[in-house]
Amino acid sequence: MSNIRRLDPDLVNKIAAGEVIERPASVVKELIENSLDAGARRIEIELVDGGASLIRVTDDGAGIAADELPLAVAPHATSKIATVEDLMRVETMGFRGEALASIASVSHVRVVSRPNGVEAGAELSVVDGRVEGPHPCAAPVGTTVDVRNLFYNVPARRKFLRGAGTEAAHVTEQIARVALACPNVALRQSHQGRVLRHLPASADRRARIADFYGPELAADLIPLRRQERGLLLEGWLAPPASARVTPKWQYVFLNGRYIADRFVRYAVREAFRGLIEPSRHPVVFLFLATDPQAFDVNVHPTKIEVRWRDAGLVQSQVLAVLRETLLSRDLTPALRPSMPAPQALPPRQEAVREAIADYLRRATPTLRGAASLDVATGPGAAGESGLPPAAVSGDRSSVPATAPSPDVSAPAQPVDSAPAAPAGDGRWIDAGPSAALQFHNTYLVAESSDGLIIIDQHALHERVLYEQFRERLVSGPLESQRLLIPETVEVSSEQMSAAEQHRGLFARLGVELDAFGPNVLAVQAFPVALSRMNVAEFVRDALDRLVEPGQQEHPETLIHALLDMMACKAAVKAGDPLSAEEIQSLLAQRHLVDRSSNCPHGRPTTLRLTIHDLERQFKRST
Amino acid sequence: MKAICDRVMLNDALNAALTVTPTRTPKPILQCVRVTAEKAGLILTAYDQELGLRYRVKEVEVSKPGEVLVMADRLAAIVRDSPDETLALETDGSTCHVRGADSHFQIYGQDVREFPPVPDLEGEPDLKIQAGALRSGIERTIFAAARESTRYAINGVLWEKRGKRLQFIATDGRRLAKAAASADKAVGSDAEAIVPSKAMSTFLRLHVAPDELIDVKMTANQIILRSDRATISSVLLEGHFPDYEKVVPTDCDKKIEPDAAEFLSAVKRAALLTNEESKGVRIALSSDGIVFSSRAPQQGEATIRLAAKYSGPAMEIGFNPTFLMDALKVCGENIVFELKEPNKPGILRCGTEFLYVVMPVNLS
Repeated sequence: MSNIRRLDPDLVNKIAAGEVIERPASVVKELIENSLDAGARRIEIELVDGGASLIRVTDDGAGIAADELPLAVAPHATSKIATVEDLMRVETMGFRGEALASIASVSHVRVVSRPNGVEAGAELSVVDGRVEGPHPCAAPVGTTVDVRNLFYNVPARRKFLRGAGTEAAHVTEQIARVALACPNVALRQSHQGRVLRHLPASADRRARIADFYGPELAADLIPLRRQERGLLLEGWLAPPASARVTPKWQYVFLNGRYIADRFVRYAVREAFRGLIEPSRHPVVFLFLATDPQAFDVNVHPTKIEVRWRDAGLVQSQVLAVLRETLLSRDLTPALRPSMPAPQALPPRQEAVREAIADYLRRATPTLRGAASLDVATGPGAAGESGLPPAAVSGDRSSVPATAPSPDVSAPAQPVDSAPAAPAGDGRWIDAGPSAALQFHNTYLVAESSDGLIIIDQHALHERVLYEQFRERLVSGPLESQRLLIPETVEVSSEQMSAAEQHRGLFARLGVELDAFGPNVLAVQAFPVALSRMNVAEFVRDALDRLVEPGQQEHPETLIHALLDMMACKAAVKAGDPLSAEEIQSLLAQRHLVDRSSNCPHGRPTTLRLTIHDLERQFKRST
Repeated sequence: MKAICDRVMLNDALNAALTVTPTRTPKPILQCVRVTAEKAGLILTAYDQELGLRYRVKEVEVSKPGEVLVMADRLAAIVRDSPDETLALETDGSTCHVRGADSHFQIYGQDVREFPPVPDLEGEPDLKIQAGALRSGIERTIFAAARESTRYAINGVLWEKRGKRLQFIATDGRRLAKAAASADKAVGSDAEAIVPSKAMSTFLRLHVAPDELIDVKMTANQIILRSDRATISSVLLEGHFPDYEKVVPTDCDKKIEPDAAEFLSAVKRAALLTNEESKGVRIALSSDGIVFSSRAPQQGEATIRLAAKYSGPAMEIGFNPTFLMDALKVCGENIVFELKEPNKPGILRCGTEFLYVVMPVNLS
């Protein structure tokens, strides 16, 4: 074994670089942060070969005086903090005084800078660890840092660099983070001499989001803002329909710094639970601002993690704001028929179109009557479904009908005696402001103020029941019917112990299970709301759910999983014909429950097709 | 075949046949009714291979015997909507002609020989029982039978022949109803049979005078009921019917004797403010009588008072009102309602002929 010795400073820098400088994007991040700390209003980022050959960051910030240049590339030298107290309330992006030194230890760095009010600029290079300069030179106000031959002396890292395109994309991601955090700084990004992005300074973060993620996403964003207990939270969230397959689209900034924080992430996940499918992730842009003393960013050299003084408070505040924002919104996704933009018609055709449109407008009442008759006597009529009408309108107690089912079996009326109003058949119903029609015994179509909505009957009913169960649980266990003759269920020994372990959980749901023998459970009581359900099947499925690997979670999560299952089993299925009253009652309840836009599994319950979209499809809009 | 038939009587017969013909079947021939003209009358036969019905229409003049097999619902609709007093039926090969004063229908029938044979009552009946007594026994239990239970045996009503006494027992695992009736004549040993609900509801729909004697024959896998006009045959349900004696509690110490009609009315009104997931009606017994209350979240609450004599300790218990109403509608007057504890079953008795055990609902 060799002796202990102090490491060579260059080696120390390389080790430090290993932590912070991973790829060109990390260099860009460090340099941009320096520029921001220098008060830059304009930053330009140029790359050659994805940054492997050259990374140049130019700013119009405060600049570095010629005599300070050698210090700038020295380790643990900074202008950002001076005392321990400063470290406790860091307001700059950096503070470690290591970035330039680390970069310089793994690349060839040239810094050119001129502070405002100084006649000449100065230049300093670090080549193969040797510092050259500073030499006077001509330079604009601000600082330019060139980083060439990144990892020239760390072949392992160099080997792991990906293609220029991939590295450039990583750089773009870093730039996006800064662009979102500081919309008032102009940014210009170029690669191989080509300008990729030129973002003027603006006060509008949303415009920046549109720049990076597309105008469609930006247009759908729901704003939020709340200041409470020293935490200012503002930002946007995308409606559940815009959820993505990766969590990458969750941008969280704290005092202008991009962070990855598990508490905030959990809050986001929780707020969206039941609104998106479990495999998808919400898109959010959250900007938190708070007293720098409320958290510690000195956790990791990349400063992507923070330690909160009170993480629980932050988490619950974020969750509350997101939840309220989501609940206050109609999240029904819009159907976006893809279509070419309407072309301008030649004047003559335009005149014809106008005339036709005018005719249709005047003729609307009769046309509407005729159309409804088609529906009333057509495939929507019960007779064609192949099922006896009595069975069609039969007892389906799970959709609480407010009135007895109508006689759908009445033969379709002859055309001449049918009223113009679409009411006779029972398939059209007058649901106050809107009417609804069931088709393929699976979907409902209803009129809304701005067009029409298409509803997945199972998904919506599932959500309605889920919310009812959930609300009911707040006031106590679900009402349960005791069984005169207990039903027995054969289970595995694993399920047996799960039943024992989750006895309290089952009790809350109104299910009472007793051991009845080795691997046999007796069901002594069963929820009233599930009276139509097969008892043994439910218990077995519920136990399956509980012994699933990875389900040893919070009891609340398990309750939700079971409620989910109950709602799913009790809800009408796709293919179930519904009576007019059932449709009406379902639609009425849509407005009474929270989160009705998505089923408990996160699939949408409702799609919206606006008049505007229809008019575009029919080429009626100009 | 050639016959002139009273339309109203034929209509009754066809309606009875329609309760038997299956609405959906992979064997469409079962949706037909067999029409047989004999000297003694017109016999309609319907069969779904489990339940069979032979129905004799006597109000008919047969001039030429014969047989035809036609779709039951078509013939029934023609007869139902006809304005005539009598209709003439005539066959021409497998085609059936139905003629009224202003109408002539030709229905293309099927080959009669394709129709499966329907079991008939052979030999001596085991029981002769008045139709009214049989009807009452069925009506007081059939509602409690399970409908689609995987415990197949409880989807019917257990008939127990004990000498001249015939007992009916039905349960769906949540409540149990038991009724008894006396036969006028019984032969042979005691026997049991689990009768499918459909066979009994077909019997209930027949127009039979209450004092008419019904022949009952129970074999190992069949039950046959025969009235003057109709014969119903049905396969029995297999499986083990739960040991019902065990679930009838014997230790109920709280008794109350309310008026049956008032009790029913109170439950019915309390049930008005219940909903799907909050179905229970709370029943509070005290020396002041019974207080029924219910609550539907977000909709409202109901309280109904019923004066009744009660001297035991106060107690509260919840029930599914439908379960109570089902029994109260058929039980008769002079009822006794017995309870023990809020999580133990309640008993409703009416004389020695009716007993109903019902499990409570856990109210939060």
